[in-house]
Formats: sequence, structure tokens, C-alpha cells
Amino acid sequence: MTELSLNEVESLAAKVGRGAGFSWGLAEEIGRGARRLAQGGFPWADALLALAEKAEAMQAPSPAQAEQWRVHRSETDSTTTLCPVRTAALLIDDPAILQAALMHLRNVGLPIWIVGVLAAPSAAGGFEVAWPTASAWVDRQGVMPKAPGGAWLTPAADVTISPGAAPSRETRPPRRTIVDDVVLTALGSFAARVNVPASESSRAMGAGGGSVDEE
Amino acid sequence: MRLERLGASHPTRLSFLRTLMRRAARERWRVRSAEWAISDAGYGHAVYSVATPRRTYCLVAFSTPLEDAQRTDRVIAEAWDTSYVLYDGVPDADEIARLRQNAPLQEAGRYCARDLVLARANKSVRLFDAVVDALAKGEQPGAALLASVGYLMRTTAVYGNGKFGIADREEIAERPELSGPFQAEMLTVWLIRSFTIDLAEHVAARRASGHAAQLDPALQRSLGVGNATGLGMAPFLVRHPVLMHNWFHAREAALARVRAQPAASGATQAGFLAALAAMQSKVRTWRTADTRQAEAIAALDADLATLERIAADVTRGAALPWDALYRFAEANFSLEGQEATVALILEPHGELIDDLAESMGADESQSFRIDGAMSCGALRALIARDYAWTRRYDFSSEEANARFWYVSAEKLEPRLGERLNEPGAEREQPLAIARDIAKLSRALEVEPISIAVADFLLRHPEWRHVVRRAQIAARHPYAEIRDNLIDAGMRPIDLLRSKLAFFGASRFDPRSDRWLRISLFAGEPFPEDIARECGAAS
Repeated sequence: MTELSLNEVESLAAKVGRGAGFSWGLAEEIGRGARRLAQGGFPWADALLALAEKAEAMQAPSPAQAEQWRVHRSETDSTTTLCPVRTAALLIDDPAILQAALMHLRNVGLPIWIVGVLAAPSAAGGFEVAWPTASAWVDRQGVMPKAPGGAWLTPAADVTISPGAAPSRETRPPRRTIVDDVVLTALGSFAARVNVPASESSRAMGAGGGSVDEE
Repeated sequence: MRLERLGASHPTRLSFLRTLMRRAARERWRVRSAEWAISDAGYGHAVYSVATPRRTYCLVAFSTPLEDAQRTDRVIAEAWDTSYVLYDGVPDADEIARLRQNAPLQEAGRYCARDLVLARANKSVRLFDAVVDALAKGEQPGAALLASVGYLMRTTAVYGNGKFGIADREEIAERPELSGPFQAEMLTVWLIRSFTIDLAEHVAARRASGHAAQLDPALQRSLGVGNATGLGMAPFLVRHPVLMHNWFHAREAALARVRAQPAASGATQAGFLAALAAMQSKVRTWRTADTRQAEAIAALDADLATLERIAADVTRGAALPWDALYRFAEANFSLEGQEATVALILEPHGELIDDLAESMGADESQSFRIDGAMSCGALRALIARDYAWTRRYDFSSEEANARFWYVSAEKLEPRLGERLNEPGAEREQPLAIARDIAKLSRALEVEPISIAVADFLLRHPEWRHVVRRAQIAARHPYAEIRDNLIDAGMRPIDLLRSKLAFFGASRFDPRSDRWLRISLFAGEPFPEDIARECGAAS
């Protein structure tokens, strides 16, 4: 097991997100989301690995879906699994979708990422994000489980987002997180996809200091 | 905000090490050597404690044997002469044992939330041994020799903010003594400076028991801590646009306040002339083998001589004397001279501008959210207003697209590749702001102007980071370096110098267009000097 700082969590998660094929901007959201999940005591590392492994199998909301959500129409059943990051990104970009209404999202992959990415910067209170086996609060202060023991790594579920205020926190959220080394290694393999092996040409160009101190 | 000007940056009284020293004096920080377990040969550990009004911090320093062949400034090094941790509190024996197992390994070690900063430094081979030899003979080393290097040791990395498991920035962000930018890092380097001199004196004393000299206080004060900085630092300013805005905004606000002063008092004129004399003295000992920098130093020397000659005439009778001096420099001096003049006219105005140091931090999470309700037409208008400078570049040319920023798999550090000659461009980091803004502009041209940015990004997530950037820049006019950071002629050291000047660095010595050496705290008081001057030395 390895203890990580939250900055390491965010940095690693952003790289994993990019390595899994998300755009740079979405990778930034994944980094912030993983940090919030870690602070909330959620299994962020397992969730991140699952996201990286399943990213290509999930779909962004269609423009038609987005329009349906805006006018609060109920969705028809869908066999397409929604990407939670792309979905949450739309919801934070256009907070009007979530204002003063209960929202049902069908077949969301890894719904824990709705919790992680969905910040509530413009909401007066916050949101409760729930699926049949888990429920969490999301607000300006971060994210927290509504009840312990939720099935946070549910592969896919229908999700409900409703306005609601989280209870006040009495203790400071944790600023460290412990990660299983096997999971950390697997995450590292995704993160490594953004790196470039060093070449002699880069060294020849003088990427750093001289080879041996001469002063 | 052009690279050429950033590459002529000078430290000012708003620089971070100056801010730290002012707070230490104001709050009467007490620094003492709490533990000294160093062998006759100079190896072992030492602890320096810093008592601030609210908390105590300790620098834990380790000195270890190092083969000459292993002594390199490069980030790929695996061993160093000395390693350091700034510790939150006072470490007990178990904690020191833990740090001894990890700090000498640097990136290969693991750290905990009590460890605030991790650093390492190598001896200046030329100077450290010469100083020890002289002191062991009961003599003082030559001032010219000391000036030719300027430091006994050179840091090659100073890590903060959660790296390798050390404390996140949030751990200290609410503590007044360390809340400003890089205050924990500056405190670490300040204490390292004391250790380097104590170590040299210790080795000399052990070599010539009872006969060795201590380093003359004036010579001690002339020494700083060296630093070798390469590309690893370069992307920082690009990745933190809000922080960068706040740094430059504070500096520009300070300059505006001073230029608006209707009179130059006798005290400020005297302060200006004292600062000018000190800078002229530093310029005369500013050594570099870099031809371009040497020419810039010569031009600066001439500019400062002119400034000394004309300052009284230019300011006499002027409605806005400091503004007149600034305008004279702008019209007549080299970029080095202009930037030096800014530093000089800020220097005697502490009461007027020092409060601005409090505005140089940033909570970047407040600017992270994208305004998706904005229309694509409005976004296009923002970009046209704030990024007109990107139209200077033709990104279909090889020159404008010559480089790419990437992260090295070898050391996980930023690097700059040649797009046509090196592999890896498909893994380019998102630091080519000018090019990406130009591409985003083209993508927006085909969008109806009434379409919301949220809808645009739903279809085009590849522009998400660029849209975020453009919206940040709209609220933070100093957020962008207004140059093409992948151009064939771009010099990364210009980025480095700008950041290092905000730290308070001096003696900029480019070793290529990708790395340079500098000195921190040279000529400045030691922590114990400040404590003594405040009558609070322990």
C-alpha cells in the first residue's frame, strides 16, 4: 500500500484520463474529480482504473439528449452506456440543466464519476447523486457519502440527481489517501501513455544541466 | 508579456524571498541550530529550527559522501552531496531516522504530510574545498574567488506541493507565515544557505583543531545558494495562468502606484540611490560565459551609469518624478536596463507597495469552471480581443511549429522536442497556447454564434482546455505569455528567468537556451542576522 498526497492523486488521475483517451480538458476534470473522491473517502483509485479500462466503451450524451435534459423531458430507454465524465462535464458547463429539478439519467457507466466531476460552483446548496445501491452529496466543499457501504464501483446504473444540501462537516476532510500497489501499478501503465521515452537527441539539446559539475 | 522582456526580469522587493525575510523580521522568527551530528569529514545530519509566532519548522539536512563522477546538475542524477527536508514541527529520533532513509534518495524515496519541502544540493567543487582549505589554514578565502562562483552549494531541485508524498499546498495555505507563493521553498533555501557555511567551517575546524578561522561575516553575506534550473520549471508559468496573472498584476500595480507619486521625498531618493549603488556592485560581479547575456550585462552596466548620472535631473521639477524616470528608461535603456529601473524605483517604496505581496497567491479552483452558457459568438469576441497577438504567427510554417513540449518517461519531467527530428509529437503537452487558440478560432468560425459553449464542447471536447484558458484570460489580463512557445526561435530560459526573478534570484547565468544557473539570497541577511537585528536572537 502507498500513501499519496492529493496533488499526486490529481496529477496521476489527469494523466490516466489522458492516457485512456480523454481530451486534455476532460483529463483535467478527471484529475479534480479524483481529488474530490479521495478527499471524500471514496475508492477513487479503483474507480479511476475502471474508468480507464472502460472509457472507449462508453458514449458521450448526444446533442438530442442534452436538449431533452434541458427541457426536463424523460428519457427513453437506452442501450448505450453514458460516459460519466462527458455527462458530468455537460452538467457543470450548463448548470441550468440541474436547476430546481429532479433529473434522471439512464444507464450511466461508473456513476461514481458523476459524483467526482459534478462540482456545484453555481448552486446555492448542492446535489444528491443517487443510484439504486449508493448515494452521495456533492457541494462546494466536496463530496461525501450519504450513507456508508454504498456500491460505489457499480459498473452502470440509472442515476438520479436532485437538489439538496449536504449536512455540515464537523471534521476536516482527509488530505491523504492509501492506494493498493497493484492498482497503482495498473494506473501507472495508463499514465505512462502520455510520456515520451528520452532520446539521445533530447539530451544532446541540453534538456538539463551539464553532465558533470565543472564548477 | 513578451518572452524577450520576461528574459530580462530582475528581482524586486515583491520577490518571494524578500517577502519571507520581511515577515521573519516583523515577526521576530528565531532560528537556531538544534542538532549537529556531522562527522569530522563533514557527513551526517543537522537540524535547524525556526520558531515563528504560531509554529516551529525544522530543516533536516543530510550530508553524504559523493563520488565526483556522480555530481551532476541534471535531474537524472541519483545521488547528491546533501539532501534536505523542511519538516512541520520538531522531528524526534524516529522521524529523523525515517528521513535519513528517504531524503538522500530524493524522488526514489517516499514522504509524509509532515514533510513540507524536499530539496538537494551539490557542492561547488571549485569553491567549497577552497574555502575549507583557506579556513583550515586560519586564513580567509579571497573575495574575488568567492565572487567568481557566489555560493558553496547549488540546489538542483526544490520540491513542494505534494510531490513524492510530501504535504499538499493546502496543508500550509491557511498559515500566514507560509501562505504566500513559494514561502516554504524560500525558507528551505534560506536555511540551506546557513548549513552550507556551517558545514564548511565545521570541516575546516576538524581538520585544523584550534587553528581554523571562521568565515568573515562580510564574505558569508556575499554567498548565496546556487541553483541550476532546466526545462522542468518552464511550463509552470503556462500551467498556472491565474497565479501568473496575480504575480504580474502585483508588480504592475506597484509600479503604477510609484509612478503616480507626485513627489520624491529625500528618503525615497536616498533609498533609490542606495539600491542603485548596490545593483551596480552586483552587476560588476555578475559572471557569465554566455555571450548574449554578457552583452546584456554590459548594456545594463552602461544603463545604470546613465541612471546614476541623470536621475536627479530627470526627477527634479517633474510633476511625477518616478514616472519621469521610468519613461526615461523606457525611451533610452536596454530591456535589462528598463527592468532593472523598475526594480530600483520600487525599492524605496515599501510602505506604498509591500501590501501587494499579499495578493500574489491564487486559489485556482475558483477559475476552473467553464461558463458553458456563453455563446460561441461571445467566445469568439473574447478571443479576438485577448488573443489578437496570436495572429503574428503562421502555424503552417515549420518555424512556428518547430517544437513540442512533452514529459520525459525517464524522469517524468517536462522537455522540449524538435517536431521534425524527434519522436513523440503525438504525445505533445497542451502548452502551445498560441497555436491552439488559433485552431480553436478556426473551429468556432463554423459554429453559429448563438450556440452555447456547452453544446460546442459536447461535440468538440478536444477544445475544452483551450476554452477554459480563453475564459480565464478574459478575467486575468496578465495570464498569458504573449509569444509562441513552440517557435524555432523560442528560448526557454526566458521563461525560467521570469519565474526565478519572482523568487528573488540574481546572477542569471545561461548555460544554453534551456538551462541556467542563478543564486538565491546572495548579499541578503541570514536568519540569525535578522533575529539578532531584532534583538531576539536565541
